[in-house]
Amino acid sequence: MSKENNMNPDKVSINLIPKSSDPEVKFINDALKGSKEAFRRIFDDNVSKVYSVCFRFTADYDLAKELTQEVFITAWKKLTSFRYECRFSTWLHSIAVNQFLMHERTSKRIIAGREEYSKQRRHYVDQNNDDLNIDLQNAIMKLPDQAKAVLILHDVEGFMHNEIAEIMNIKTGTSKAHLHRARKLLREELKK
Amino acid sequence: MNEEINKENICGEIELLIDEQIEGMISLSDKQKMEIHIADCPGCKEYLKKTLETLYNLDKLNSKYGSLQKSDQENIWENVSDKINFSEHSDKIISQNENTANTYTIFRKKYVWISGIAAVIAILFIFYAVKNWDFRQGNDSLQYSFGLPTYWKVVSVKGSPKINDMNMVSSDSIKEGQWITTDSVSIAELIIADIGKVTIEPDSKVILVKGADSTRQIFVEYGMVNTETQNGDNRAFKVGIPSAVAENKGGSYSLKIDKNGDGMIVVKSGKVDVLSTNKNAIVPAGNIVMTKNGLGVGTPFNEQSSPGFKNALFNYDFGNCNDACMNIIIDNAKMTDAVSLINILNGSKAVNETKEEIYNKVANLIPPRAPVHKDSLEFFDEKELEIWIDDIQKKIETDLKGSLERLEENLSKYKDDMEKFYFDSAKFYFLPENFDFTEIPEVPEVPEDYENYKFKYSSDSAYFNSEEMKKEMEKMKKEIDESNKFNKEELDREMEQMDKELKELNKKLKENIYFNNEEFKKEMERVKEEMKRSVKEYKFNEKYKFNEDDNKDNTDYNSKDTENSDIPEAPKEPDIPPDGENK
Repeated sequence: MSKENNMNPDKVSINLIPKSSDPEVKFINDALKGSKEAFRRIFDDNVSKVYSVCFRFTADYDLAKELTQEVFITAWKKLTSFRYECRFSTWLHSIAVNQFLMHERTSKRIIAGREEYSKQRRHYVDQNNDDLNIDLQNAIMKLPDQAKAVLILHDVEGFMHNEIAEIMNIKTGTSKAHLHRARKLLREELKK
Repeated sequence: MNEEINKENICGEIELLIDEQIEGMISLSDKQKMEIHIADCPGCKEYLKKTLETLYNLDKLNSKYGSLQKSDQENIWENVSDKINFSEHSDKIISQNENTANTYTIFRKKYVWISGIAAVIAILFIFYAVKNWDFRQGNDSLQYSFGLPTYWKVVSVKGSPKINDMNMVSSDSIKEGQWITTDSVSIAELIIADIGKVTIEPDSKVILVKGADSTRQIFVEYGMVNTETQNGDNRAFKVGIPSAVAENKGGSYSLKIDKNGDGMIVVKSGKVDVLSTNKNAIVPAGNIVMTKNGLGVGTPFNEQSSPGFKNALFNYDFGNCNDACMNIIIDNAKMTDAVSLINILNGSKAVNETKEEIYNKVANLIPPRAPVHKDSLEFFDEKELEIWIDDIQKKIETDLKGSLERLEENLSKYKDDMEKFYFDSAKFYFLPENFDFTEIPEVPEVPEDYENYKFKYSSDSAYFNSEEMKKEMEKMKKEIDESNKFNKEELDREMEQMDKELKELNKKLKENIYFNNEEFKKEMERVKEEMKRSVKEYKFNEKYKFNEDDNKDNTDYNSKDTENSDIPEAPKEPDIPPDGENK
């Protein structure tokens, strides 16, 4: 560590940011400097994943788009607080989960959303004629919010428990317990 | 009732193990426990089957729905970009810089005279400093200067570390007498100018103190710190702990102190001298030393030392076990324990005879550069001991390097074998042997696109990374072979048994038929005999009746019929033994 860095507190804190050749790091730095194109690249690289998880949470196309939009706006606002302590996509997922949980807590659209879902369900049946998937998606929607989020992140999106713990700010053991409960409830729901 | 509760508890535990198995993170013992339980528990078997089905369906679900159209993507981007001010972050930075710049401009324009006063103060300050400068303190940190309080830099790495129980900013400073505390999630980094840094782990308290020789050092009251220092200009960095001081000139080590003040120092690189009132310990890389509050420092030992050796060493240092423990130590000492033995040689606790024995033992493993006479052992120079320790370390490192290279070669070979074997038999791996795959029509085989499949079994998972892989593989092969062998032998035995049974059955059947035939013949003969007798009797009666009715006196006693005819006897009972006798 050079003497110069020790004397300048700002430089010391900057040292925490990895000097990486990863283009994502460059895009983030450029976005912070005001580059719209750089943020667009970040958006393009992650929007599908974010939308996918939002759709799984809500089973509502429009609501998923709305949440995706909110995730990226929030990500922009908080971009200066991203400390490279986890993958950027993990960080975005944590924003998505928080957006969803906040939405479920505050919005009265839950019931409306579920009604809308049943309409969409008919649409799926017409299009795909796949009753099992519809039942499964329907059963997922009936899970408690936290358990649903863990199930989707783990079993659908493929995150590991330690990543889910980071995303949802819970302990790894709690994540495992949520998953176990979610799978049990899902099976019981599918039996009906 | 209690049994039911116990069963529920066990099944609950097994279900969690099944989850871990699917995750690919189960230990070997847990896996065996799970498989044994599943074999006898239909409920858990069902749980496994249903979970696999659900996962398979969830995986299909993921690939079918939830994709975003390009036009939707564009719409979302437009909405996002409309609501974002892209110069927001850069403006803040510029604004901060401008504020700073404006402050300096005002300062220059309106308060120029202040510079003059400042210059005078500076000159006085330098004069005072030079006058009071103690040049003997040259070995101290560069941050200590001019007899004024020195500030060391502290950086908050994670959470909210505190300085003097007040929240610190992301980059702060600490001076003599102040302390840093971290809670269960906080981490702080203390920068030591030109030497290195100390990472203060969660739940720790570190105080910046003035050492006995007027140099600044840190004191770890409790918790854990990791130090990383460079061997720049041969200055020692000191860390005080209850009852000892750790000192090193480059390298890294971890130090942990519990709430009772007892501690442990683990040296990762370089060498650490731990000084205490009872003795000094020389701890090279790969060694660990314990400290006891009020007693001082113990004897260092290698990470690979045997538990018996460590136990004896601990009792020798901090218990009342002297000769008995020393015998165990000497008897159990291996190459890697040479550092411990030299440290005992360096201490004053061991008697001369013991020191001689220790010297001979270590010298047999690695001789010192200059042999020492037994009478001089008491006056062994500490520097010579350090050189001896360095030689031992080099030898251990060379041996270790060789072993590691061999291990890597073997591991890479096993990894290839295991991966091949694993994917060939993936389904047998996570299901019990007697699990019936035909019961799961949805998952008949490992899917062709198993790489995208939810259960990923990569060789870098925590489970497949060691010797355990090889053992597990060999065990599985053996089990399969034994199972095949057993099945064949059992089948042969069963076939033979069946053959015998069939033969016996045939024999019995024949005997039975023969017996029945004999019986039948006898019965027929008996019936025939009876019939003959009956006919005779009938004829006789008829004849006798006729003569009696027509002419009782003309009885022809000489007739042919009467010559041979006797009075018929009553028919005999069949010659069949009574039931009771048969039985």
